Formats: sequence, structure tokens, C-alpha cells
Amino acid sequence: MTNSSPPASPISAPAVLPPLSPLTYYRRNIWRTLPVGGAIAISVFLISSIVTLLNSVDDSILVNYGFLRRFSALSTQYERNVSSRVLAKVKSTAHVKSVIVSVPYFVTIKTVFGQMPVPIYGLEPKAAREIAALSGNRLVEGRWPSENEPEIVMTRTWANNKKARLGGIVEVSHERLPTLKGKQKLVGILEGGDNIAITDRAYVLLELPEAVVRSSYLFLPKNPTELRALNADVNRVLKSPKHNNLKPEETNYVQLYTFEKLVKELRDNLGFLYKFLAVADGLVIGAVALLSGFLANIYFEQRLAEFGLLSAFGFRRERLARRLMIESGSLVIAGWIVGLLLTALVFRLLDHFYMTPNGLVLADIDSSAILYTLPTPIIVGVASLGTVLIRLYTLDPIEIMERR
Amino acid sequence: MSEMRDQNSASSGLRAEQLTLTFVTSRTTTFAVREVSLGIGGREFAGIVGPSGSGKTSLMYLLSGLRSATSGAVFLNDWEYSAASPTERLDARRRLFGFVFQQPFLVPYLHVLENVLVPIENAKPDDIARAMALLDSLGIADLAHKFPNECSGGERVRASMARGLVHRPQYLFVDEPTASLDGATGNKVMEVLRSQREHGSLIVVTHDLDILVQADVVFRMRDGHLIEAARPVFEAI
Repeated sequence: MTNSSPPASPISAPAVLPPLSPLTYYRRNIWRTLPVGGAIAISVFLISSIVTLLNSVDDSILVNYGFLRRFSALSTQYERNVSSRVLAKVKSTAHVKSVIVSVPYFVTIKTVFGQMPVPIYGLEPKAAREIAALSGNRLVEGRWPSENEPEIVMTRTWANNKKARLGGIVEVSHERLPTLKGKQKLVGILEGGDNIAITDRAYVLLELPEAVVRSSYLFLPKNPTELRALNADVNRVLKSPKHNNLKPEETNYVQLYTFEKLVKELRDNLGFLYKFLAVADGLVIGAVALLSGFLANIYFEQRLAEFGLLSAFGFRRERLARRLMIESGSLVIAGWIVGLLLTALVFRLLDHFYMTPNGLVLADIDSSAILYTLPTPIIVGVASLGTVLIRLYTLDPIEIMERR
Repeated sequence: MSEMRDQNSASSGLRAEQLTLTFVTSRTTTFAVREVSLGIGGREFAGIVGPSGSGKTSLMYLLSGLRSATSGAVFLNDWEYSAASPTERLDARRRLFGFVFQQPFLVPYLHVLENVLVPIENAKPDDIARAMALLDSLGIADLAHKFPNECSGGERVRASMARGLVHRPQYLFVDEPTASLDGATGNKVMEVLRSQREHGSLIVVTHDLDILVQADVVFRMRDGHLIEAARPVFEAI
């Protein structure tokens, strides 16, 4: 081929974008592509937010009852006390290091799902320090409660949650649970470990309504890793009273509160919510996929002549399909990433400015939240591309060129 | 049976043998092109003329491989192009052919210059300079950075011509190039189109015999038949 006329133009060429690049399409059609990307981002945001909120329910319970990873609590519901025979039997099991006698009462703290009861342990001074240390805490401000005084120490998170300041009163007037007759003063702040609140045992015995006074026996393992084995031993005794020379009525109302039991009950209770979430997730994905499929078809209809022209010019269908896949794929992935980033940002801001200052637990966006959102880009991508690719592979360039 | 050959193009260029295109419905069979044989040599300017519905555009589609013939064959430099695989045909179409369709479709979100560069996958500065030169010679260089909706119909036709020429095709197929242009612009456009002969053949489908003044050969169609192939144009028509 010779280099033929026309001669080089004296007019300078304006900057050109690669005509067939997906980026060129996006740059020039930003207002057409934003709604689709936005719909994907919003649906991903909604789904990941719901999952993260559900995870926050889970986290709220596990974090606020995290102290049960350090010890287990044996208590009874209808009897005033666990019988001495039962107590002696479980104390003699292999993994028990020591047993601390506490008298708990309950207050409620605020969580993302409403009010949740947590125990405040009435302990003797030495036991108070031991339990605080065992739960990973140290006294960072103030002092320990004095004997027979209406005084309390608690972790900073719970103090924030109860809006209590050092030296101030821990408000319990709104509590629905039977609680102390008198008001308690916050005299110390704990930090560094699981949430916990400790008050003086003698004072609790004096001030708690008699009907709700129960002793709770805190079982400490010889080694932290032995807590699970300790729980198994104790439960074995409680479930098989006859094998342990106990009467069934002695163990009927005795319960061992353990972290594993808490987790199991929590998972069972949240199981329905997660199932419901899966259905809601499916509906949202279906709706967004349908919408995206329709929009993709509308866009393709608008661009039919463009693809017909390229096909007439000899561009292979595979080449055009690849371009469509890159266009749709990058839009869907971008929408997905933006949705996840938006969730992370919103939750981070919410946590920083509201939840943490108020002692509330908010989960971070995690792999489970990301996993729930994953079907959105996949289904939307498949729905959009599937319908469009069928049309691309059946288009007749001549029919399209002559139509216009 | 129509069989008319241009003697100069027996072994090189574009050759059709017994091309037939039918459209079959449940009741009727319509012959758009019927047993047409012809040849167009390298660097020739060929015109295809005929009344509406005579099959000239269909013939162009068959010659360019845009449509497959019901029977017959098309040879491209002695290669039976019509029997090649769809992929081979697509590749050949992209490399060797240029098109200017009757409807000057331009991609709406691309500038005129970018539209001209569409047939070239990765345009280099030389390609951009050539595209600009083509726009300049067609009198629309100042529209290079405009979008199609900012151009008139005639300007869009000229932009589509630049697009057909930009990759220096071996065969340029042009359908009714002057239909929407005034006389002066039409002449200018034909001058640029004829420059295609410097590196390949020009095949123009038209009603307008005036633009075929300098054609090397003119094929006249009627009712799907090729009824005449003649050179020079004025003696034939």
C-alpha cells in the first residue's frame, strides 16, 4: 500500500480517547451508567448494613458476656442456694481451681437491639480484685468499693453505657429488673479486659430484695484453657445426679452459665434472623438483577447500531462480547466495591461518633457481610450480560444498519 | 443467467461467480440477486447502478461478505472468500474492506475524529494525522472535536466517508455517497473517494450516474440480474 492522499492536515488534532475502550464509554456516558452502578452500590450497602447490624447483635451479647470466657457461673433459679452437696460434688471435679461466692444483681445496658441485662457481681474485696484481674482488667481510675458501702467499679464501656461518671451515681431508676433499694456510686473505672461490674457483696445482701437474692458460684479453672473441660465435668454432675449420689431435685434448678452455652443459644436465636436475611437478600438481589437486566437491555438497544456497525466493520463477536463483559463487569465490581466502602465508612463514623462514646457495640463490616453481598454483583452481572450477549450473538448488522 | 466479466480482473481483485441471493417465505421465493458474475480489478473504480429494488445494495452485501449468498461464490484475489469460515471472513472484512453505508451511523458518544478512528483498533499518531487530513479534505476538519448530534446530516455522511477510508482498505464499498449532499459537496466528496484508487478499489452503489463519470466499469442491475457491464461509463449508459 502506498501512502496516498490526502496530505497531512494543517489543523492540529484534538486529543482523542480510544474509541472502543470501556473507559471512553463511561467517561462520555457517566449519567447513564451512574444509576446502574448506584443501584448496585445501594443494594450492597443495604445488605452489608443489615448483616453488620445483625453481627452487632451477636457482638453485643458476646462482648458484654465475654467475662464468661474466664470463669463459669453456677446458680439456681428457684432455690435460694445451690445445695451444699451439689456444690461439694462439683467443687471436687478435676479442673476446678477455686470457687468464688458472689451475689449478683442485674442491670440493663443499651445495645443496638435494645436493653440487655448484665450481672453486677457482689464480691468480697479480695475476690473483687481476683475476678477483675481474671477478666483482664485493672483499676485505672478511682478505688475499689469499700465494705458495706453502696459503691461500684465497672469497665469504662459500661460506665459510658450507663452514662455514669467517676464519683457519680449509677442510674438504676429505670430498671425493670429487681435491683438494689439504694443508689450506688461509681468509685472506680476498670480497663483492659472484658466488661464487668463489681460491687460489695455484703452491701448487696443487705440492699437487694430478699426474693431475688441468689448466690452465684464462680468456678475458676486451674488453667484458662481448662474452662471447657471444667464446664463439661460440672454439667456431667448436673445431668446425672444419680451417678453422683445426688437427688434429682437437688440439681433440677441448678444451671451452669458458660460462654459456649451462651454462644449456642445466641446462634439458635439468631438463626431465624439469618434465614430471614437470606430471603431478604435473595429478594433484593432478584429485584436489582431484574432492574439491571432491563437497564442493560435498554442500553444495548440504544447501542445496537454501534455494535451492528462494529460487526459490519469486521469486529468479531467475541471481541464485542469481551468489551461488553469488561464494561458490565467493571461497572458491577465498581458498584460492589463502592457499596462495601460506603458501609465501612458509615459504620466507622457511626461507631466513632455515637456508639463508642455511648458504650454501644457495633460490629465492623466483616467477611460474612461481604459474603452476603457477593451474590449481588454476580447475579446482576450474569443477568445483564446474559440477556445482552444473546442479543449480540443473534444481531444481523445489515438489518441494524438498514433500520436507521 | 448474467455473466459479465471485466477482463482486467480475471485473477486478481474481487470476483463473483454465479451469485444468487434469495429470500424464502412460506409462500414465495424472492430473488434479490440472480446468478450474477462479475470482476472488479485492483485499484479500479466500479459503479453499481440500477433502479430501486434492482438488487444493487444486496449485491454489495454479497461482494463484501456482509451477507452470505444462497449460491455462487466470491473470490478475493483468487481466494474463495465466500467459502471461508465466518471468523476468516470477519478478519478479512476488517483488514481489507472499508464501508460507507447509506445511513451514516456515527457512534453518538464519540467525537467525529474518534468516530473516524473506529476501524483502527489502536490508533497511532500517524493514524490520527491521516484521519484529520481526511476530515480536512472533506471540509469538516473543524468538526473533529464535535459530537455527531452537533453535525448536520451531510457532515455526518462526510465523517462516515473519512471513517471508511482511514485504514486504507483494499476495497471500499460506498452506498449512495451523494444522496444527501449538494452538488458542490458531492463533487468534492467524490474526489476524495476516488483517491481510494491510489491503494485499492472503489465500489460505489448509486442512482446518480453523474458521480460515475470517472468509473472504470459500471455494472447495471435490474430485477436482481446484472444486465450490463460497461466501460467507459458514458459509452455504456
